[in-house]
Amino acid sequence: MQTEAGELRTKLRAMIDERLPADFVGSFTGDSKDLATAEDFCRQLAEDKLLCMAWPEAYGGQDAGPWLQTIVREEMWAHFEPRGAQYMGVNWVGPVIMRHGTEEQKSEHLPRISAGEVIWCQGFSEPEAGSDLSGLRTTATPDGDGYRINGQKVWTSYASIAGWCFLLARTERNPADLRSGITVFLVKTDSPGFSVRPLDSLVGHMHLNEVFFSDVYVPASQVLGEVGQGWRIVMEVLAYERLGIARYSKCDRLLAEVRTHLGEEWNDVPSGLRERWVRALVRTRQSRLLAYRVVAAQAAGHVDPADVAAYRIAVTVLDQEVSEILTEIVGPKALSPGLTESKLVRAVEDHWRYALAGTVSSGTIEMQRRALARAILAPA
Amino acid sequence: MSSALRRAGGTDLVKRAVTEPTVRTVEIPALLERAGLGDINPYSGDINEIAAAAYACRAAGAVALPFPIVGQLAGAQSALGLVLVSRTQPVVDHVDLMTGWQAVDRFGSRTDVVGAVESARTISAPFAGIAKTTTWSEGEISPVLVYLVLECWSVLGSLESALALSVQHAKDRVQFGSPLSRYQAIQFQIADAYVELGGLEVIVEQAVASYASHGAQSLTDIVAARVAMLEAAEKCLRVAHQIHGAVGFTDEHDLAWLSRHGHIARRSPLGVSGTLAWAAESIERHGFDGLFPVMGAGRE
Ligand SMILES: Cc1cc2nc3c(=O)[nH]c(=O)nc-3n(C[C@H](O)[C@H](O)[C@H](O)COP(=O)(O)OP(=O)(O)OC[C@H]3O[C@@H](n4cnc5c(N)ncnc54)[C@H](O)[C@@H]3O)c2cc1C
Repeated sequence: MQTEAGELRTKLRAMIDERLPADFVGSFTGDSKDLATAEDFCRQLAEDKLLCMAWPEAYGGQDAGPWLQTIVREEMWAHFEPRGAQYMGVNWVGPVIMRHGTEEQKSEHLPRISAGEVIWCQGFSEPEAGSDLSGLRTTATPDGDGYRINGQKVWTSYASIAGWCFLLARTERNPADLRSGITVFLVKTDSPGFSVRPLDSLVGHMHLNEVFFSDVYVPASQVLGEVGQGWRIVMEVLAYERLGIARYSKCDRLLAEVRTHLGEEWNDVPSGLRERWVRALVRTRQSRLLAYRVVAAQAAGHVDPADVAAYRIAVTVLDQEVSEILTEIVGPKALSPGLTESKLVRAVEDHWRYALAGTVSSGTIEMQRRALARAILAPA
Repeated sequence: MSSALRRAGGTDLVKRAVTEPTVRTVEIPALLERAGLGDINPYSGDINEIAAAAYACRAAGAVALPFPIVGQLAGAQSALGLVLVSRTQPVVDHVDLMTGWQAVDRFGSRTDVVGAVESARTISAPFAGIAKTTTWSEGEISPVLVYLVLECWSVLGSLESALALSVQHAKDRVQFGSPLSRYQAIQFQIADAYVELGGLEVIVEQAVASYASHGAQSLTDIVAARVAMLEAAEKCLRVAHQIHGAVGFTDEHDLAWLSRHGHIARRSPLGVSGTLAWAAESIERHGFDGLFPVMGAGRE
């Protein structure tokens, strides 16, 4: 097991070395060549059956199990997620379709995800429905053999480049139980009436968009699971998603690299800052081990949502603290790297911005704390 | 000044400045001129002058004004403007507007800004660049003090706006059937941010008073104020973002710009660890005033 994991890590690193341009710091830089890099890289991973290795062979995977999947997650995030937006299809869209999809849906969608050919976006949040997702208002009304969708989504990452949208819409409204009456639709983004407005933001390019649905027709064959029973699927998605990004792995890598980067100048780093750096190394290790605890439970088939929340709180707080430490160590040039500046400096700037939103995206830290506290304090 | 900025569109100025260069090169300089900024001399020794400069910077910070107003005021004695930089990494916001300015390092040494080195435009600091400088020569410390203290005031202004927006947002935004202001998790964050902000306000007031009465001797007080500014900025902006959720990150929202303003001010010439080390050095030498003052080695 250890060796298999080690081999996989080595293989992925070799592939990253060989396949990624030396200056790659992610695919959402605003430069289209970085998006193309991610596309190529996904295709290569797919060819080697590494993109969805935890999936069953029938769907293009290797039945690899959660540990090897964890290694992939770590290596990808540590190397600026060269899968680009496709990590979402791999991490949660595919697995959820596997569990709830019809045979037809599985054969339509899964091979395309594992072949690295399609980008999905997540149409959950709405202007009125953030933390309180059950407040969503986008409606789906029956029309012939399908449904007409009307409404608006917001913050939809990668919507401008996605081919498909995993959409939540209301097929019924029962004010006494807003969690009922929600249905999952798999929607093609080139459907008439589907439009996207990109939002510039601190987080970076392509991460935030508004999506509008104006009489978008979706055939009934693209309803995932049962009509009106979408909330259960949502809960599963969120559980997958929260373990999804191995934020600690990039912290680990950048904390190590920043020291090498400074070379002799490391000795000039104020001692208070070096102490923070050491503390961050320890915290990074803790976050990784907390993630492993969840993965172990996952491997054994009984994940405790409280453990997931605890991990997620730890890792998002870590990410922000590390982003501050790195920015401090790199110094003012993190704001405006010279054109020949090392990749590390640009990576630090990107990390600072992305970490800022870590305690909001995929469920805010307050919601995680609330869930964790409720689990701990529940009457025995 | 505050009302002049508001009439000119407030934070619309920074949002427009991204695509309209004349906002920074023509509109804002004219506006500051009309507001009488050129008449303020923070070096006059009159506390009212430095206080007027501080208030102008606070008002500018409150709208994340895309202009180096701190440097313009700190340059009142030289021809154009004066900017405080890290000598090894002279990264400066609005460096493109500073040709012909002087740069000082934290010890007061001076050089000329003769242009900008080509650098990448980042999302976190879209107007920042690297200053091209010439040879350095010895200078005095007072411009460093004036620059530092005014920058604290400008960040104070930004944080006040960020918190005001957060309070309003907490009252307006409804989730789970209640405004966010009903949730204790939100109430406590706002309360903590206000403690930080109040603490920042009193210490920057003290720093101005100290500069007015002690001049160059106020270094420790001013560096101490910078320590408070750096910590308050990190905490308050984190709270503001948290309370706003995703909307606060978008460039259409004022918070994203106030946040950038605080982020940039926290990095140069020294971040929090470097500033703490500087404060420690200064306290060792000159002591630290209090009811039971810490004596410094250089004090008789
Ligand atoms: C970078 C990024 C990417 C995203 N990508 C997507 C995406 O692809 N698809 C998608 O659907 N969504 C996406 N989101 C949206 C994300 O899921 C929401 O931002 C998140 O759920 C919070 O909702 P909100 O922003 O509306 O904040 P709100 O829910 O309005 O919360 C504002 C503040 O109030 C607090 N709060 C709310 N209710 C309570 C309570 N009961 N008790 C205490 N505090 C409370 C919150 O914790 C937060 O601090 C993304 C967000 C970000 C930042």
